[in-house]
Parts: sequence; C-alpha cells; structure tokens
Amino acid sequence: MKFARCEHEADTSRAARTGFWSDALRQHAKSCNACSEAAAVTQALLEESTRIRTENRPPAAAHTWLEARRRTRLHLRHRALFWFRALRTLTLIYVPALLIWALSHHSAPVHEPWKPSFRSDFASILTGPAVPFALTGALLAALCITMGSWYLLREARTPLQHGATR
Amino acid sequence: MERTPGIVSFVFGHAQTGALDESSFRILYDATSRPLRAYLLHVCRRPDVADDLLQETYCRYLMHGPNDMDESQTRSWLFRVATNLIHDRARSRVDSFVPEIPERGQTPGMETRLDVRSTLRQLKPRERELLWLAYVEGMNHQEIAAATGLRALSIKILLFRARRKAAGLLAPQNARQNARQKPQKGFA
Repeated sequence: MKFARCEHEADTSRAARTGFWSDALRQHAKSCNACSEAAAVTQALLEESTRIRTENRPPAAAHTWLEARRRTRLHLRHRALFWFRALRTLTLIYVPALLIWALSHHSAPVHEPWKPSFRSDFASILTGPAVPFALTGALLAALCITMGSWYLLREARTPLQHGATR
Repeated sequence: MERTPGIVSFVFGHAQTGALDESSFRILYDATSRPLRAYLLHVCRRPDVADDLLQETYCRYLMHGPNDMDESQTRSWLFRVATNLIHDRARSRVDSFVPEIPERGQTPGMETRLDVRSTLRQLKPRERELLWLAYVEGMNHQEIAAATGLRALSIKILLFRARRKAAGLLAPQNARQNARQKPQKGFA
C-alpha cells in the first residue's frame, strides 16, 4: 500500500469540522486524494457524531457523583478493614506469646510453694527481654487503631447525598 | 496520565472525591460527557455498555484523577481511561455473545444514516477509535498516542490505513447519494 499523505490533511479535516473552507483549500481538497478522503471520512463521522449526540443523552451528572461517593465510602471502609485485620493478626500473634511468656515466667518449682510478689514481678517485666517485644506490639496496635479509625472517620465525612445540582 | 496504585497509596489511600465539589464536577461533566459518550458508543456500539463505561470513567476521575490538570489534560485523561476501559472490556469478552441493542430514536426510513453507520461499523474497533479521535475530536498524533497508549509514530501509519479503508467503504455509498441527488433523465 502506498503511503500517501498530505500536509494539508489536518486543515482539511478541521475545515470539514468547522465548515470554514478557504477557496484555496477547497480547490486543493478536490485535487488531492488524501485530503478528499479525509474530508469524506470526517463528514461521515460528523454525521454519526451528530446523530449520537442528538438521539442519546448521557446519564445525569448527579448519578455519577453519587456512585463515586458510594465507591469512595467503600474504598475507605476497605482501608479501615485492612488496619483492623492487621490488628486482629497482631492479636493472634501476641495473645499466645503472652500466654507462653506468662506461663514460663511464673512457673514455680514443684517442691516450693508459689509466693506472689508484685514488686519483683513488675520489676522483671520492666527490665526483662520481653519489653521491646511488648512495646512493639503496643505501638503497632496503636497504629492500627489510629489508621483504622481515621479511615472510618473519613468515611463518615463522605455522606451519600448531594446538593441542589441535580 | 492514569496513576497506578502503589504501596504508599494502598496504605494511605487516595480516594479524593472531596477534592472536587459537586458543582465543579457538574460543569466538567456537562462539558465533556457528550463527546466522551459519543466516542464510547461509536467504538463499543452498545448504549448500555457506553453508559457503564462513561460512569466508570468519571468515577475513576473523581477517585483517582490527578488534581493539577488543565482542561485539555483532563480531556486527554478521560479519553485515555475510556479507551483503556474499552480494551479491558474487549479482553474480558463480556459482550462476545450479546446482541447489539438498537439505540433510541432508531426508526426505519433513515436509509442514508443507517448506510453511514453500517459502513463505519465494518471498521475494527481500533480503527474506529483512531478515526474518531483524529477527525471528530481533532486530536493530533501526540494526543491520540496519549489517549490510546500507542506510539506516536505508529499512529501515522495506522491512521492512514484506517482512513483509506473507511474512504473505500464510504465511496460506493457517496456515489449512490450523489446519484440520488442528480435529476433522473428518463422521467422528465
């Protein structure tokens, strides 16, 4: 296929779209194969465009707006759920760890009666190796709660209603 | 251009419906929805699908569209997203076996219009896209490349082929139309 192109093709198409033809361009379009094709195709497409635009109206803007709001709320809820699920996972890790730690820490020898001593227990907790682990868990839990709540608050501030622009 | 959601946007979210108020959105929608819907309907040929894709395009704009765009960038962005949605839908083959639904206002006796329409429908969707963007929307090759995701150099040759094919399909119909307009000699 021979690749025939004319530098006036865009001008011809623009003239066909707007209806403003200069005499020189009109004469040129009659003699130039590429430009006459461009004019014919533009004309046919414009007829199709006019028909589509007159026969069909797009849906109301308000519907699209409300749909976007609904999706935004869903999106924010998903984000909040992500953080709360992370919190649940954290709980599933920390609760068994806490139980294991507590059992191992407070297991007393069989021959000695167990004497609870609040002061010594508290001191060992504050200075023991479990402190960074526990602190990390607490910080992560706080982060999850904060982020999840933030998304829920944002969701609450995205009401499913619109103004008078129907 | 359409942003791809990364880990940062996943963690912190980027739903931004609040960034554009409803009246601003309505102005944008009124200015751009008709040409965009006409484009979608011309390419995918089903009014219900065109409406779905139109709504999806604007929802994506409201939720993920960049804020710092001028009018022409917004228009390009919308056409690009709409084109991507058409391609996604074509790839998923949702509409493969669904018959074409007649549009409202389609009545018999509109021979010329139906001829043009049926002629244009013989083109491939990609060809229809390119011709529409070039000759109805008046986009240049760079803008078409941005809207379709093709290379600007490819646009030149693809557009030429599509135009040549469309002109070939339209030629007999134009000849018939011209013949109808001429006075018929034997009946004078």
